[in-house]
Amino acid sequence: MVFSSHIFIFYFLPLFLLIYYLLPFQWRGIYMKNNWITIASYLFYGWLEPWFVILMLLSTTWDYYCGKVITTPGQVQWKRKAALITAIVADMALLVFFKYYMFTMENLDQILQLLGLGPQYLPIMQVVLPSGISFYTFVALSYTIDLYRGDAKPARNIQTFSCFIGLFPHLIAGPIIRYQTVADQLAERDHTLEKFASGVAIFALGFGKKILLANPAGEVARAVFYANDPGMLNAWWGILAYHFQIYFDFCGYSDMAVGLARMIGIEFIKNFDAPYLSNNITVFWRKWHISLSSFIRDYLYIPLGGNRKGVGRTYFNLALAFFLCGVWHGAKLTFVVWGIYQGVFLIFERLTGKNSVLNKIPFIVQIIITNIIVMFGWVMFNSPSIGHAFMYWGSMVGAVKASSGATHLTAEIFQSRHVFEMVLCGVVAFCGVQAHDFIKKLTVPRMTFSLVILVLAILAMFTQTYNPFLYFQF
Amino acid sequence: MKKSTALIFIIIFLMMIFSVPVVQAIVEFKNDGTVQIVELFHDVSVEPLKRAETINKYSNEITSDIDTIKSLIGTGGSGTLDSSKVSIIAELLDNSKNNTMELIKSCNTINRYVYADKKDKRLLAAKQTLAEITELNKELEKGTLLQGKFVKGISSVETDINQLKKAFPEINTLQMPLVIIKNVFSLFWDSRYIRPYEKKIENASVFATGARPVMSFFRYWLFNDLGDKGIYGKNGFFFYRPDVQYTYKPYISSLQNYANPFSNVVDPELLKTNEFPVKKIAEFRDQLKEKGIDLLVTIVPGKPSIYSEYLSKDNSEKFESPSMRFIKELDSAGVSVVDLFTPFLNEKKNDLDTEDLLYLRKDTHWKARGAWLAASTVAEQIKKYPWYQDGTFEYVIDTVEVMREGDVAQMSTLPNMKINELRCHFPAEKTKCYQISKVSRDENGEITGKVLYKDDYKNSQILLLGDSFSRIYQTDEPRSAGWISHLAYDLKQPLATIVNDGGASTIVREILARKNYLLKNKKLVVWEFVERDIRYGENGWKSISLNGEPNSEMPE
Repeated sequence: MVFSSHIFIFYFLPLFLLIYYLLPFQWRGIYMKNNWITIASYLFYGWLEPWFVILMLLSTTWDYYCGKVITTPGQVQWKRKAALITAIVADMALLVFFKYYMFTMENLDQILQLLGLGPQYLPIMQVVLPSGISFYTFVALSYTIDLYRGDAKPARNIQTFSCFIGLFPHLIAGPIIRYQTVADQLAERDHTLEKFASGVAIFALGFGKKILLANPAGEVARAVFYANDPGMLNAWWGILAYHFQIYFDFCGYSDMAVGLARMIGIEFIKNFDAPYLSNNITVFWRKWHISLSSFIRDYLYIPLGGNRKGVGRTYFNLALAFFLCGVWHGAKLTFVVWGIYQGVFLIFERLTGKNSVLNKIPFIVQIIITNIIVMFGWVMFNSPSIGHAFMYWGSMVGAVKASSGATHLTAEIFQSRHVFEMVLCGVVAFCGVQAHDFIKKLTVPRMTFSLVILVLAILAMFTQTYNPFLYFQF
Repeated sequence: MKKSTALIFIIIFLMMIFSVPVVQAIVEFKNDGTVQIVELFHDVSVEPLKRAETINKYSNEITSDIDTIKSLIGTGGSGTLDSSKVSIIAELLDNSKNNTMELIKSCNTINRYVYADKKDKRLLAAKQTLAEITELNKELEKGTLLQGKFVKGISSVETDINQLKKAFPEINTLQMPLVIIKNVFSLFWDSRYIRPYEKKIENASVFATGARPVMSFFRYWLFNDLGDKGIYGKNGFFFYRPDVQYTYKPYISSLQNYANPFSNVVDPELLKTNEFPVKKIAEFRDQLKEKGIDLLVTIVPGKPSIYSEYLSKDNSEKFESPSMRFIKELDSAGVSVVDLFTPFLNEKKNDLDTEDLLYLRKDTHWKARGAWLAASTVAEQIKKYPWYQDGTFEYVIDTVEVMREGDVAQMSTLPNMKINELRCHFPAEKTKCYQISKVSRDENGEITGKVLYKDDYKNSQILLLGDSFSRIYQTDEPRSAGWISHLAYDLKQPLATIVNDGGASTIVREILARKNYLLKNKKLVVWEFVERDIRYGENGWKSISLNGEPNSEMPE
């Protein structure tokens, strides 16, 4: 199910909240509530493709029992290690198979053809990618690794663990939460009017970001990305639109997730912190998809040695971490190149350090340069192929001549509605006020503002046909 | 934050999310006594049961007919069937055929949203039964059917029906709850059911249907936005969005490079089909050639290709439609094609003198002037064929005027919207049409009769396949004033036509395949389609065989 859909807002959510708050608060009420969250989450997930629920259930059960072996008192070390390895292997196998099987086979097939080893295609099984698999396998991985390291206590029972993995607000597109951050809340949590109200407000703002900003920007981006040689102006307008689309889409989703969790008394970490106001790429990655960056830092970069094993190793670790970050996003060469592109800038910034010329220019110019670097990266990220990304970059720098139809594209994407929506996106992205800060002190005007946004977004949702969440594909 | 303020805020939010389903349920119950959200359970439990019951019923009826037939024909032999029994058997077979058709319908429809897979064994068995019964019926009519062969045919039908009966056994009251549970699990856990069900809920929503036109209205009022289908141009011109998108998207043949990850041309829309129009058109040309018929392709320019300056800054000198490349490729493949782009762009220069346009302002289609120009250009080309001779029909022209409400304006759903003092009104456009009538004269040359132009399927040498550009003014108001009539006027003979809105890429050929008798006596097929269909043609560009059995008779 999609948060920004009719069925979610008007059927799933009311029914879920109604039953959740009808269940008792006293005695073992919290566990009944958790079980209800699990059931509802499985329904939520199954709505996309029912059979994937079984896959998630299997993965959950496996990780839970591996966790149990790891944390059994007096357990011998090799058994703990074996349980950890089997959990990691099982989770990664699941991820690799569903995400990379077809990519590997198709590329292998092409290589064989290029080598002239037969005109016949390899028999490639069609594998459908279960939505959110990258997110929930990472969540499960963090659980077993944290248990092994002794950073977390095991889940009280499999119901609690299923509730943690399945928890529908974060299930499909994050944030990637760690067990220890919600473990206590799953056992005991407050349900207050203030918390619920702030949840509603942040949900409304996230919903508004998705429907009123990301989707309209997506219309422009889509038109330009699939145009034939769009020309310089259109190419910049198109990538600016995608710059806004991916931010408001993902940040909107994260806000909605945080809001929904708060409505049931659970606190999530914030996943975005005004990333487009960063003055370099290192800062950008501290503010963008924070839960993924910190996951990569804690479970990959630091275990590899981080910056403790010399300069060369640090750069290698950085490059590897961002290469894998690219691979995590999907089975496409463009994601790999995008990951390496990010890694190169991070290494460059580390190399130049505080003495960089970039640090001496005005702060606003630094922000503009950072945004341009990020936008060039998004071209690779959003392009269907590497060749297409180069063509697009060529259009941006004026090296590729615009096609004769490019003026028609201009007419379509510079319609006054699109210009208005893009200006609005710019104002919200660069104003610096984040939804999390906005709801910290929830006054009457702020509540009214949230409700107005919610109503407008609902009205707009009724008329929109283009409504995907970009991060669902990951 | 005060608790009371938070409470009010929460109540408003909850009222918003709860009121929609509650009001929806009340409205639905008031309208037809059912509630959509509850229908879900009916769809996944009761409907499949009903289906099984229907299949079982028809299977039994067919079995009973087959048994009677078997008793009539005995055990077989090499002789022909007893003529006294033939009529009774034919009747029974007819009855079985009708029952099998119902059976196929039931096998195909699982419930309101889910259809059986095309490869579903049971559906295939039902289709096989129909084919076998039809074959037996045909042979019976011819009187050539041998008794032995008939017995074999009947047992084959029996086997298929038994297979179906096994798949859909009779269910007694005790078994019913278990079957319902099984259905709920097998169907509800099926995204094929869930997606259309969700769509249905969205579309049926009274709030959504009420909000859509209001939102569209405000978007138009604030931004001149015509919604998904239209683009607002200059001087009152509205453009159809796919027409515009066709002109700036990658050229269709570039798709051939898609498999290469380093290709710079990609287009997810085209990934849906792997059908290259040039190849399919050449294939169609070859099919016709085998029958001694020529093919003449006519690509109609879309409005943005001719009136580019009303869409964007004046780019008309530089703009070249991607269709010009397509025409060259067709030419290289040896397909005869008429270039309408050059004459249209030349004729556009006379717009000021004629005080008329080639296209309607708020519509995707041409005006009569455009239709006339297309007809005369194509007629000129047809006259070059060695077999061509002018016809003997005498046609006359009458000038009539019609009012056209633009289709782009209509698609925006904006016309007739009015909110208090704000209103949106797109006046219908008056356009002059040239209506063609056939006249008959007496021996003295005096006109004795005048009837509007009509197609002639039997005697015409030319068959025209086309889309809505062939329909406009022809079967629409004022009738017989479209480019088909103009072409007939130029050639002095009527045409045979197959016209389908938006379906000129594949659907018209499918219709032709079903009515391939229309190719009898034909010397030429003129295939007209608008340029955007190269990319967006309904059902893509499929290969269609023209050699199948027609499924109906030649109309009188």
